[in-house]
Amino acid sequence: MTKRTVLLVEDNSDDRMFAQLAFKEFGFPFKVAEVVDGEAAWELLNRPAASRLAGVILDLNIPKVSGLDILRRISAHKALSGLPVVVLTSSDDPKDVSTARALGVRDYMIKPFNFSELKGLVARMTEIFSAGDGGKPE
Amino acid sequence: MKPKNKKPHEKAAAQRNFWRLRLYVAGQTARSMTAAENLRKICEERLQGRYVVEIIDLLKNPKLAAGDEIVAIPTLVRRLPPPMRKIIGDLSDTERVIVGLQLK
Repeated sequence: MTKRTVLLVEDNSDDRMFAQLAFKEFGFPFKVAEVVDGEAAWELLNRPAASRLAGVILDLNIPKVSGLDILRRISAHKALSGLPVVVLTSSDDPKDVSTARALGVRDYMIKPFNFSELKGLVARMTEIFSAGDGGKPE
Repeated sequence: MKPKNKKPHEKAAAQRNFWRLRLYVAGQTARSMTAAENLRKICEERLQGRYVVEIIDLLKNPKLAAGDEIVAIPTLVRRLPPPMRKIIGDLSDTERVIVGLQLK
């Protein structure tokens, strides 16, 4: 069976590479496509193929279009509003957390993590993206 | 002549004076290269002749991440002297590295 794809939006190349390593190590059952800024993410999300995405992993501090703006656009977009989004960021600003939650993110994960948290985080993403758009945030 | 085995206290003293460091990178990204260069400078200035640095490229040895429980790259691990310590980043803040590795 063909693996579904998750879009990783992250500008830091080390973080992108590490994410791929962690996904491999912990058996993440999705292909991961990468983009490095908000503009590229939005462009990709507007292609017809975006309907086949299992979800998005989104950093908030990204160039060109911010992560929160991407979330606003996804939330307002008829075809994309059900797409599961997980925020993976170093921002622990309560305002960012509440804005992202209000915009419907399935989870908000703050870097850095310890190793067991990292393992749990990959498991949590697997659960979220496997569920498709069946569950909205609590 | 067969070398004499070190007594436990001698072994501990030798371990305290010798630094075994590991730098985890993934390929040759700009930050990883900067981290390696910054580490080389700090070691040469502070630990001349008393250190060994092993650079682990996680793209070539991905399983090693579990051994030192690496959660980001680049990460520097002080394996000796004990206790193990870790510093994440490109090591450009020399003071932070010195404090983090307890080089003072």
